[in-house]
Amino acid sequence: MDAVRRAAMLGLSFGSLIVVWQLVSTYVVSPHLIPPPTEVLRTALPMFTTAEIPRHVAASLSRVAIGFSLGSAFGIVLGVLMGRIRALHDFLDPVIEFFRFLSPTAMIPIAVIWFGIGETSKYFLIFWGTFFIVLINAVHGVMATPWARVRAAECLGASGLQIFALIVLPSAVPSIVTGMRVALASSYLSIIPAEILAADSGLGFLLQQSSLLVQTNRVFVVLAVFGTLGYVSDRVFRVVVSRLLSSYLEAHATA
Amino acid sequence: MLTIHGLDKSFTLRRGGPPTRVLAGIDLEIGKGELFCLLGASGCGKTTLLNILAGFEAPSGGELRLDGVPITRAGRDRVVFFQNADAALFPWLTAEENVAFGLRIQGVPPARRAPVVERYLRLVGLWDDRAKYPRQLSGGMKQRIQIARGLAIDPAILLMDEPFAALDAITRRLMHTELLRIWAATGTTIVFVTHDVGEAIVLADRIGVMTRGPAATLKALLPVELPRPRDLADPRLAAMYGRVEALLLPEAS
Repeated sequence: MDAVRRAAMLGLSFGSLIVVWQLVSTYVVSPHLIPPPTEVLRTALPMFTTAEIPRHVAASLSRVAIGFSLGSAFGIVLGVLMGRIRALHDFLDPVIEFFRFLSPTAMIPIAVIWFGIGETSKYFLIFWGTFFIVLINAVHGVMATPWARVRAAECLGASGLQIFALIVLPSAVPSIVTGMRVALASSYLSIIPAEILAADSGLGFLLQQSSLLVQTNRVFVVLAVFGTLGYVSDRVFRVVVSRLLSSYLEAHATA
Repeated sequence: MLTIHGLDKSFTLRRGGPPTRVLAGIDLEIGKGELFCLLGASGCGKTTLLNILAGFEAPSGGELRLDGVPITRAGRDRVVFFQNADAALFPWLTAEENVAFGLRIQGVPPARRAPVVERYLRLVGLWDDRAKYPRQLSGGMKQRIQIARGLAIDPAILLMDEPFAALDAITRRLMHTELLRIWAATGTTIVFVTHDVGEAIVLADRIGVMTRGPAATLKALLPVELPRPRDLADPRLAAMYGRVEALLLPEAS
């Protein structure tokens, strides 16, 4: 019943958006500025059948996937170590607090100088946008492990390594997952400017190209595809994570 | 036997500030199988004393021995039982897995730990709830899981830090009965920290009344020689209550 209701709301929500869009483009704003959904759909179909959209989607998606995976992996490892080793934390924290304010967009110029406009610069930028968010959340998750839990394990005879692996890491899982989810959204926010400024493929590139040629319909197609991509990615991430780590996540829901 | 001799503990509360003497020369002997209640007002240092017995904190002076062996750090012979079960239990493990934890990390094979886990889950009356996660259990059930988890590694002493203070009054009464039943069945030595006079009298073989901090010491050691189960309406118990309260009242801050 709950699933039915959610599906109905999803349909209603997007359905209303399309109706309002159609009305606005018909009666309020010139269709040159906001083309109606029917027009956009007409433009979109050949873009899909000629594999233009799938090709650019694949380019953007692989950049996000690789950059995000690398950023998450390094962020988790270093974050967990920093959360556990006080001296390492105190040594690295000031530098990290400095670098995390340099957004991926701010790093585009230097990424182009370092890596050119090939794939590496995009991997680097997505990595940059992911790494700090995941790291900070991992540090927090480790540090927020309740003292009583660690001490209880200590009394039961757990060694330092067992406490780390069996108590601290599981306790940090919800915080790490939250960090990854925020970082995934951030990856989508940074891939577009990266591709607009320095790429010859990807949805950002397609967006920029369509804009230069004032192909408003195509701009709308790309925006719609990109929004859908982000939405679906987040959903998939949540479903996969809650399947894999359910006992660690739900455990904390009420604790 | 737990022997505490001339125990001292000082803290520096602020960096660079003067040290505060929290515990000042505590002498105490607790016998094997005894249920000892440490009674004191909030902030008197009874939790600090318990943390030192557990080995979480080092004393500033004095001697601590369990069966003749000096206590230097946390060990499997002393299990601490925490007030906040949500923090102390492992929420990603089922009740059964929580109870098995101490044996599992020692490398006891599943076939050998299963009967131990079953025994203690049955002892605390939660065998039927073994597959549930802590979040699916009530406050009193969670505390019973904590007891079973501690007992499963067969410690010499159970150190309990105001374990039932967060429970409602009726559940607390039930837990007292439960604890006495479990204690009678296992014979484990228990050091029970509380600020509740009634709780101490209902449970204890002996009550140690602490003076208020800083520089707290033991003010009195009172044996409770009343038969169990103890009824709060029993006039002898009421008389005892009056005596203990009179000792404790000047120590409230």
